[in-house]
Amino acid sequence: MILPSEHPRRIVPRWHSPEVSAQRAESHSLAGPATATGPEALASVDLRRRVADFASHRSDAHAGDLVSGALIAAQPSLAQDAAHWLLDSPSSSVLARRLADAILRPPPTDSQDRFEIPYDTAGTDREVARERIQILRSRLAHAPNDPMAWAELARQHTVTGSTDHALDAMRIAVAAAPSDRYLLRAAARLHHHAGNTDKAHNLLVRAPRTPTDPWLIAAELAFAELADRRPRFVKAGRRMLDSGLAPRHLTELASALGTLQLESGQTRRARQLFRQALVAPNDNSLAQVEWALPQIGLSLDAYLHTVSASWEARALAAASAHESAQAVVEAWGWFFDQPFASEPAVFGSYHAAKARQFDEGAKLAAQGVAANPELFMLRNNLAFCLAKLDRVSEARDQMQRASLRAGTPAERATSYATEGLVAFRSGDLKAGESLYAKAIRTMPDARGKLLALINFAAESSRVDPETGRGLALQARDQAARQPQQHDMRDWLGHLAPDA
Amino acid sequence: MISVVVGTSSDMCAHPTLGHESFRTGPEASFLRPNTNGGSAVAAACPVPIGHDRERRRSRSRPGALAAARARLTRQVCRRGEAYHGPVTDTVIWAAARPADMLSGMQLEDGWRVVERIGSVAGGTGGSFSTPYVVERDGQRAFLKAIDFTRALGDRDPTAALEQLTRIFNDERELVRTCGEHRMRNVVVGITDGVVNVPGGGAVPQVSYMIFELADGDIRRAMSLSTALDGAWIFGALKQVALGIGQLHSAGIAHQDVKPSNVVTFETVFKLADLGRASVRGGSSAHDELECAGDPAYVTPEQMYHFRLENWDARRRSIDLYHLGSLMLFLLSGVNASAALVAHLDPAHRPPPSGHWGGTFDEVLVHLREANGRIVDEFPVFTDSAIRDIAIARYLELCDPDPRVRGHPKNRVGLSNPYSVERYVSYFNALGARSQRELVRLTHG
Repeated sequence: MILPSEHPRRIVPRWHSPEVSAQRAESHSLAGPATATGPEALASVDLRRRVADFASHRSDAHAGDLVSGALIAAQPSLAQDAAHWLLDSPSSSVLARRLADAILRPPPTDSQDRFEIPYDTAGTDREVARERIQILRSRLAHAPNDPMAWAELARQHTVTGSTDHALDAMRIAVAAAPSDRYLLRAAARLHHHAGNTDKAHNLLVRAPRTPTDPWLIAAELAFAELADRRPRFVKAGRRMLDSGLAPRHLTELASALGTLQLESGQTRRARQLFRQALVAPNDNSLAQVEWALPQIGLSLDAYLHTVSASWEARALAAASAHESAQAVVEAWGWFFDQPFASEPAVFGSYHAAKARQFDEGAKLAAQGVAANPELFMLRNNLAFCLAKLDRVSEARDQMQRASLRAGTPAERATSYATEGLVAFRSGDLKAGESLYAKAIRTMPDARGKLLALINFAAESSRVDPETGRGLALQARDQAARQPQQHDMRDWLGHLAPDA
Repeated sequence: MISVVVGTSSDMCAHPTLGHESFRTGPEASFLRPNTNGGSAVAAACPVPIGHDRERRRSRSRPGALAAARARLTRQVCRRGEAYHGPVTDTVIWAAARPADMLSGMQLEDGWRVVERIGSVAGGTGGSFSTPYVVERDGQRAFLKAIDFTRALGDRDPTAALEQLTRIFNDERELVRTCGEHRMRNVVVGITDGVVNVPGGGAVPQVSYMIFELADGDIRRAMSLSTALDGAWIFGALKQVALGIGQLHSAGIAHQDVKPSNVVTFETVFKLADLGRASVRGGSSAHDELECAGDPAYVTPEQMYHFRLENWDARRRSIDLYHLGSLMLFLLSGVNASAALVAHLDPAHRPPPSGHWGGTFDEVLVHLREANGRIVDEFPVFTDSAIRDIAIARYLELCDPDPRVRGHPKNRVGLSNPYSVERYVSYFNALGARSQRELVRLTHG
């Protein structure tokens, strides 16, 4: 089993579909909502004439004309009858029914009211993603000048693991609208996902819009840190915090700057910035504050269940509270929200395994593998959960693929441990013991060594209780000497009480 | 699925008269500046007792006109939602007179006789400044548009309103004459114009009028009367509308208000009506400074977001292209492009009043293009999929949200006018022919 990354969390942009992004503040105008000073003409559509026309000519055409006018004038009440007519008419078109539906069920104008969307379920499954790719390709064949559709195509390709296709589609999207915030953030996120964080950073640094947009500056700061570069727009970002922009536009920037302050030891200033981020937090900034909590000591109780879509923050909070089962539930939400991302799948599968929910862990890891086939961590976690479920041949297959991708010493040591588990479950005890011993010997960090030892003890206990007891004793002894490794207590629960 | 059964327009021909759209609110409201309480200008003028004995005597000599004026006064006051407590004297009725509403039965100087008024609602739609009638001469029936100058009298600034109204009338009269001189086959032709003095017509008894050829009905009626619309009919109509737009553009006129109720039918011929919103290249019409000169229900994306181009072609002719695409969507789906666009936008990206986008037009363009893409997903299905593909391509060109690139891309090469409709005439002709062949193929197996 491999632990979730212990690297500092960065406020990497979320990448939602354009629809979901529109429902959140990310694609809203910085200028703030326009008020009733809009074109007077739009509100002055002659609806009475259309109502009279529809009354004297009950037809789809007259109903459609009235519904169209009412939508423009934002006066749905005058077109209810016509809307019902269109919905009941056997000859009305799909588009007419769509507009009739918009008349009868207008969306709330306050985005906060509809902030809670269950999940962006489309795209969580490769089959669904493939269907959406077909629809998008068909649309783009007719309307190639649609940057949002290209970006969504890129997102769906990313979900299916076709990163090269995704990069091609995103290149077209950004070329068509090089100053769009959503597209720039999505493109940078994709480059980061593809392992080219330098390119993600370059894109944002070169975009003319970045110095004037808090969302882009926040992303620039995050990718600069991830690429081990110097952030370029720290000063511009600080100035922007006092620019009077709506707090929802500044929340990610404040948390990004807070993270920088935290890392430079300016805890007090960091706390101020995180407080500013909490004026109107979104799911990403809330997760960032949750990550920083041990150092800044704020309370997020008031936010975790009021800020919608904050699955990551809730998952982190549950993990901190040693509620692994709840962490898995929240990880699923996080994963649905970002179906291409490896983090929720790694996090969820780890905590599922810790909670002995191996089936859930295998499902999460398998979903993550679809979008991240080259990632060692996910294949390893998948193999671990499969082996624990005694699906040995599948586990062995995954482990063979994982081993090829183990790059760091910790990953190689982890692969020995999981291979040891697979050997135990396939009945090859000698190989199992040997591999676990090798894992413990080569693991570069004490935490990893302890985790390997605990799992070695658990597997030994199943076939050789006496050896297992000895190993369990060692594990408990080492755990007692590492009190800071809180989650090891949960892993020790995997050992039989008498072991 | 679009049926390929041919819909004939014979039903429309048999239908009794319906003239051009003559009632307007919306844009007029902005330049006529009606009373803030929404009442008509005449209603506002009611309580002002103005003596005018000779006219009053004339009114008395016409009991029918008096009764009509009394009824009109009552309706106008009631429509405002306010009780009229003043005395309903002859003087008040005289002041409230709307001579443009009193032409029924009158004989005009040039031999025309006013047969009947079109429409049943007196006072029209509150913001109307004209009254439509059917007129007849030597067995020929025609459409008369009577201008109600009395509306200006109730305005806060009556002289300015009167000047504005006069200008609008003169502009339209001039345009109609120009169209007649150019022999535009797909634009409604004006027959004559003049002034009639209406007995009992109150303070301003002179009524100016224009007489046009009388249409069978507008295209909405044709749609509703056809039991099965088909591609041949739809693209045939669109071809004629495109021809009408092209005829106007050739004369340096942009219609700016092409919409279903302004496309009228004459047996099998479709013509553009109502040049009241048109703009002339190099001219200066009364509504040229308005953000949205045409019907706001058919507002173009650039008008929604206050994006204004200075070049006349880019600003005016591009509107006609958008409206042509919008008409195509209306004929195929029964809704207009502006409403379909708004319905497919998130409220955060919609303009007020249905949304609250506060950014620039260029920033919102990507969202508008995405919304257009979703409209395409819901485009009607044809038995011949090639027709659908071509229709979608033309729709996206004509209804491109950016007026700078609207129209056929090949028009942007070389010396072509980027807003020319010629290619669309050819496309619609070809689509109509293809639909006809598809019909024959299906009918005869």
